[in-house]
Amino acid sequence: MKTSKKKLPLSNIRVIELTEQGVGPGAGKLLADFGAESIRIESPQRPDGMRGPIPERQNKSVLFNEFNRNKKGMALNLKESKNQNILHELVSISDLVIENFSPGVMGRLAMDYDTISKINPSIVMVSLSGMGHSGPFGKFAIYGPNLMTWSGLTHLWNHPDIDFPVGSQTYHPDFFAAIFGAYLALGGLFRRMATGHGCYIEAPEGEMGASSLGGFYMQYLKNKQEPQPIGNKSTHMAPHGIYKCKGKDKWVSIAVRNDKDWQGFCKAINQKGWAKEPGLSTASGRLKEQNKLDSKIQSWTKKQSQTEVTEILQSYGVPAGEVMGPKELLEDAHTNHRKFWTKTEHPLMKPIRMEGQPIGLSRTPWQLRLPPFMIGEHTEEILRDLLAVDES
Amino acid sequence: MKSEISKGETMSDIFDPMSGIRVLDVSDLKGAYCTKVLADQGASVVKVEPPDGDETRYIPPFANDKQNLESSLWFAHYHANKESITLNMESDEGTNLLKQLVEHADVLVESNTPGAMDKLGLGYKDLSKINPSLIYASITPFGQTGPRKAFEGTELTTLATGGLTFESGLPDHPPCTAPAYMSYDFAGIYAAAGITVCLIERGLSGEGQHIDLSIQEAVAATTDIMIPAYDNEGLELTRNGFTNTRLEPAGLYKCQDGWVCFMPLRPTQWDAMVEWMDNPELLQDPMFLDMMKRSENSDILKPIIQEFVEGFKREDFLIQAQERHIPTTLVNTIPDFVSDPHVVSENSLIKTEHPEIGTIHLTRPPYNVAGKNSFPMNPAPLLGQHNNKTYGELLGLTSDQCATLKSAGTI
Repeated sequence: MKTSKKKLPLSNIRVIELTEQGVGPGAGKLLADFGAESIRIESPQRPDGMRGPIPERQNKSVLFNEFNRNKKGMALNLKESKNQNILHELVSISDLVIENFSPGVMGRLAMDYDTISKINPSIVMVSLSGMGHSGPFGKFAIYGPNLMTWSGLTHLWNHPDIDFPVGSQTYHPDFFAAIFGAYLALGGLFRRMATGHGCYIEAPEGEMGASSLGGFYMQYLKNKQEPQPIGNKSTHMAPHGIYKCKGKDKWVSIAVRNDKDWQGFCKAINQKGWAKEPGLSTASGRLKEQNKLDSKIQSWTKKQSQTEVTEILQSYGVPAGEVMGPKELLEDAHTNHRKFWTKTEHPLMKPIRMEGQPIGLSRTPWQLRLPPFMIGEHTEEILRDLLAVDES
Repeated sequence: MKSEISKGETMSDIFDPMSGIRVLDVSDLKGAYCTKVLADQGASVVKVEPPDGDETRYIPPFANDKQNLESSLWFAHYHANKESITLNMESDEGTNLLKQLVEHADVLVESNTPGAMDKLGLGYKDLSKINPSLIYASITPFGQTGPRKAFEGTELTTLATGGLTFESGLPDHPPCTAPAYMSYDFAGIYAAAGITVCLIERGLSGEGQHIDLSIQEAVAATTDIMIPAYDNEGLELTRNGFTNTRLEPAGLYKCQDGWVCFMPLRPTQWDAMVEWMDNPELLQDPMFLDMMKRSENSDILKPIIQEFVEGFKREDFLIQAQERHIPTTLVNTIPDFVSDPHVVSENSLIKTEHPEIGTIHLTRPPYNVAGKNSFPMNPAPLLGQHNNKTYGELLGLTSDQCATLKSAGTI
């Protein structure tokens, strides 16, 4: 793996990750991408569930690799008191602890904030969990998709003519919470630069997701109107939707934001008559007629590829974009020009492309330094070099 | 618990790592979430709006269905805790004023088409000469470089080109975009994290940086295993409703009085469910032995589980499932959410008084520090509310001078 000589912005930061699955490791990944020395502690008896249940495949998991590049891994059985001591020693020379275990677990491992802040008063600790550590649902067992249904997102994420909830199979609450968790950790570290003090931040992922839906909650509480699913339509823009294109399951998204876009749009799809119709010259007029407009637009798009439609409309300044799947994304000229797809090498697997780091920094960009670690890969190295412990 | 800001109580009682950081926000809705999370953590965020107001002020729904520049509920949501000044950045006087303001700023957030700020003499190259420690964050649909950098975008199109829409919805229906502004919020939290990395780095080097945030990339980085699974095995994750095929039969089930999200994925959770259902055949049949087999045979399993679940009222089901540590939640409508017992207990929605539209409820900053989970939230600013204050404090302009600039259309 090539590494640049450029100094990374977080190279003075050491992070202990007591994490599993997606959210915790995802938060740690962002810090590791920018140079933090991130050490994940795994139980040798029960490695991260993300690696899958089959021992022979646990060091070859694509899902695990997605969240764990640029980190080191220690295998420690934390039920043994000698290992708890080792962990405490690590705390004394670290800056940040990230955890996303069920509430109560850190206490049982003697890694709660009260304990570790006595060892290291400047330690920053971030606890991430589904519903938080308090409240009637605090300590609930939660997966990412549960949070989408709790916040109301799943109910709203649907076409209006479907009478059962659908939502999406995405796990995006976990991804959103991972970045938010990293943001909180970075804030704690930034604050410490000024004050010298650490802190403890406990963050429920469910509420992070809810913070995207504020307008809907207010619509109900203020206007006494219940928000309903509207599919791909807009409450204030038309035409606005997703249209079928040439090919199997190929679609394009189009959004005409305003009257200026509308004029360009009519030229682009050769509907000069529309451009002159006074009933269509305003958004409210177009909203009234959107079903009629949509069927004409649909008969235009289905004769062309999703990229043809995108490029024609964009050449007239109208927002349009392919509904891209993994094939389109990996072959996409634009993201490849930006070198966004990162080939992660691995000692036991063929190189696989993954997303790079969306945060592009001009002077201290992120670097790919380490491949995803195997179980316990760095235990010896850390014991010997960081802690000067005799491994017996 | 007090939830409104009062004299003497400051944000610094809470978690305010951004206290003392001044942010100039010249972005539109694409940068709103970024500066929202900075403001929520104590940053002094000045929203620099065109004299006609930011585009978000025009987005419905409006309080009491009465549209005016102060009544947009999405504006009230995104721009709480911020200040507002007006500025016509297209005029020479306007760009001059912005350059002067930049001397006093730590961060600038913008979302213009790449090249537009450079044309105005307000690009990173220009502003970093004025203030070398400025952190300049650009949040745009496709980033600062590449063949599509100047492409236009809206929430609908940025989510689609990022890959999230492709996997969302039912197989026999068109792909379904997400409600609200998911892609902008993703880009926003990434940008805020990036700004904090730069602030830490600036503490060591003394220098700022340019942050290039492509909304497409922020979305693509959230598509779970979709990309590497395709690269590794050619697997195309197409629409499958609520649950990924490999996780079925976990998913949405109907109770007597509504829907629940029921996810008995791990062996211990599955076994707990089987015991609860009192259906030992399920435990013994080799067709249902492990997650992979259960996914292959989910068409047989789903009706069996559905029949079990529909005997319950959903709140009973929720409690009993969670007693068995099976990840379960209700499928809440919006009215369900606002009266959800956890929401009420945890102050998830904070009542605030807005000077024009009255009582509103804002989502709280989603973290607890030192046991506190109630935060004072200042309402979103009126258009140009802080003109005199900001131009006065930072540039020494008098209110007469501000009035002159206003009639000239500069602010």
